[in-house]
Amino acid sequence: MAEVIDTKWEEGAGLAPSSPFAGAAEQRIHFEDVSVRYGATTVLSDFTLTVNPGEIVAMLGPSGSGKTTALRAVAGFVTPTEGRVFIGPRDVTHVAPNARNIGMVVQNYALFPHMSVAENVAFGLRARRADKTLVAARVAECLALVGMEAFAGRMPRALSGGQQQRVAIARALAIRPTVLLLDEPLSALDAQIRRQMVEEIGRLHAELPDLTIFYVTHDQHEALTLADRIAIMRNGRLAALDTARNLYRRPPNRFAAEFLGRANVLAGEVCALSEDGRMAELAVDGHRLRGANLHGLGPGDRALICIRPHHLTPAPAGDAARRLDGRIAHVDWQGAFEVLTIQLGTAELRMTATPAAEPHRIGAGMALFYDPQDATVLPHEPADG
Amino acid sequence: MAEVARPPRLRPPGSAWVLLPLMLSAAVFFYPLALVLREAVTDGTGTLHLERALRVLNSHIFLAALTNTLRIALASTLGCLLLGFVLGVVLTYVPFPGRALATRLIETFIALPTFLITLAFTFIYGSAGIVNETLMQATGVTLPPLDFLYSSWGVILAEVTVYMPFVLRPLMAAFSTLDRAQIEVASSLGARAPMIVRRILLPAALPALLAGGSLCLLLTVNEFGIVLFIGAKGVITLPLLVYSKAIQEFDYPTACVVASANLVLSMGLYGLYRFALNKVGGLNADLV
Repeated sequence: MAEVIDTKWEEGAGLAPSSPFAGAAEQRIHFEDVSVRYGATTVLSDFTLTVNPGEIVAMLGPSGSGKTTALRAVAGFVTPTEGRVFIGPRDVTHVAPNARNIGMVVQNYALFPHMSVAENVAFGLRARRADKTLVAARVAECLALVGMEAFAGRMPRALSGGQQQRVAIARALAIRPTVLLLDEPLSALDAQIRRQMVEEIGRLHAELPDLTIFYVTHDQHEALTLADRIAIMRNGRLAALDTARNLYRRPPNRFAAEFLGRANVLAGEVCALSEDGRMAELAVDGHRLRGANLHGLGPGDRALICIRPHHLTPAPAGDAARRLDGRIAHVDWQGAFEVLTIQLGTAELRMTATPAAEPHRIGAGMALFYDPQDATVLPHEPADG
Repeated sequence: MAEVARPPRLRPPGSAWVLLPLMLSAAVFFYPLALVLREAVTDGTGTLHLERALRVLNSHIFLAALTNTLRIALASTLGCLLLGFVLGVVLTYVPFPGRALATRLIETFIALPTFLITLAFTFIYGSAGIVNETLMQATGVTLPPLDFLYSSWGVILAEVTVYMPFVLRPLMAAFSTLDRAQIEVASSLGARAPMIVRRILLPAALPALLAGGSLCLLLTVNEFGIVLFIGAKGVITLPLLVYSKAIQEFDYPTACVVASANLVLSMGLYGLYRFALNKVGGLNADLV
C-alpha cells in the first residue's frame, strides 16, 4: 500500500514564483486498486500504477480499454467505485477537480473561444486570484515556452490546430501543476503536425524535467517516442507495464506483442531447451523456431513465439539449419520499405524489407532468417483471449 | 446536321415566386393593418388629421398604459432570463433522476393557452387559493396574507411562467453545443462553479439569451390574455387599452391610435432584436 501522509492543501498552490513546479514528492501519481463501474459495466478494474516524479507514462490501448477513465480519475471527473488515487502523498479520490492543482490538455484543445490566447493562458491564475503582475509574467513565460508569444492577442479561432494545442499546453502549465494530464492531445492534428508536436512535447519535457506527465494515447509512435514507460490497457485492466524499449523488445504477453508493433506471434509447443534453459525451441507447424525463454517454460508446454517483422531477413546462403522456407503471399509497398507476408505452412509471418530492385512475385519462394535472441517465447494464450 | 433552333421558352424569373406569398400577406395582413393606421391618422373624410392622435398619445391613460406595458414586459423578460438561465444550467449540467421528464414538462408550458396558466394561478395564489387557505389556517389570520396575484406582480409571475420556455429552449440548444471539455478544463485549472458560470457558460449562452429574451419582450409587450384574465386593478396595458376602447367603448379611432402606437413599439423592439442578434450572432457565432 502506498504511504499516506496527511498534508494540508495549500491555498494558491502553483502560484509560487520561485519554484517552477511542486516538490518532487508531490509530483507522483499513484493508483491503488482502482476500479470504476457503471452499473454492471466495469470500465477500470483493480488498476494499480505509479507514475514517478518527472516521468512520462503513456497509457496505450484500444478504444474502451479504460485508459481515459484512468486519466479522468486523476483529474477528478470520475470517482472510483473502489480504490484510491493519490497525487503525491495526498489522497485525492474524493477531492474536487478544482482543488487538485493539475494541468489537463484534451484532444480538441477546449480553448475558451471568447477569450484571447493570453486570457486563456491566464484563466487558471485568475481562478486562483493571482496578482496581476504575476499573471502577466507567467502568461508571457508560458507562451514563450511553447513558442506562441507573438499570438497573445489572437482569438483561438484565428489559430491553426497545432497552435491551439500549444496554447492549451501553455494554459495547463501556467498554473504550475503538480502533474500534467494529456488526453489524446494530438489526435485531432494531421500526421505531419502531429509528428512535429511530438517533438515539441519531448523538447518541453527536456526543458521541464521535473514535470510528471500522464499521457493517454492510442498512437504507438507518440508513446514510443515520448514515454519513459508505457502502460498497455486491455478491457479495463493493465495488460503490460514497462519501459518503452523493454516492452517492445520483450513483450510480456501476446496482447502487448501484437498491440505494440504488431509482432508475429506463432503458436507451438516447447520441444527443447538450451542447457541453461534461457532459450527454448518451439515446434511450429513443422518448423523449429528458437527464442528467449524468459518465462521459464519447459518441454511439452504450449507456447507462443513472438518475432518482430523487422527482425526477419532473407536467409544467408548456406545457413540451412536456421532458415525458414516459405512463399510470398502478399506485398504491401509503403515507400521507404515494404511489408511482405510470407506463408509458412499454415502460419503467416510479416517481414519488413527495403524495396527490392525487381518487384517481388506473389507465390515466389523465400527463405527467412532471424536471430533467436531477438525472438521471445511466451506462455500460450488464445488469439482472442 | 444543322441544328434547328428552338424558340426560347418563356419562364418567369425565380424572384416571381415571392409574389404569391407577398400578395397573400398583403391581403390578409398588411391591408387590414394599413386600414388601422389610416384610421389613426385621418378623420372621417380620409384627410390627414394628427391632432386626435397626438391628443391620445399625450393622454394620461395612454402614458400609464405605455408605462405599465414596458414595466411589465421588461420585468417579465428579466424574470424569464434569470429563471431560464438557472433552469437551463440545472437541466443541462446537474444530473438528477427525471431530468428529461422535467425538461419536457417545462416545455409543454409553450403549448398551453395563456389564460389556463392564469386560471391555475387563481387556484394556487388567489384569495381562496391553496396557498392562502393553508396560510390562513396555519396562522389564524382572517384575511388572505398573499395578495399579489391581482396586481402587476401577478401578471409578471404568469408571464414568466408562460414565456420562460422561450428562453430555456434556445439556451439548452446552446448549452448542448458547448464542449463539455471546456468546463472540465476550467475546473481542472481551479475554477469553481460561479466562475465557470460567469466566464464560460454565460458568454456561450449570450446569443441564445438575446434571442430568447427578445422574443419574450416582444410577446410580453403584446400580451393580452393574461392581463385580461387576471383583471388586476389599475393594470392597464396597451393591448388592454385597445380592447377597452374598441370593444367596450366603441371608440375605434382612439383604439386605432393606441394600436398603431403598440405596433410601432413592437416593430421597434423587433428591429432592435434583429440588430442585436446580427451583431452578436454574426460576430460570435462560434460561441453557440
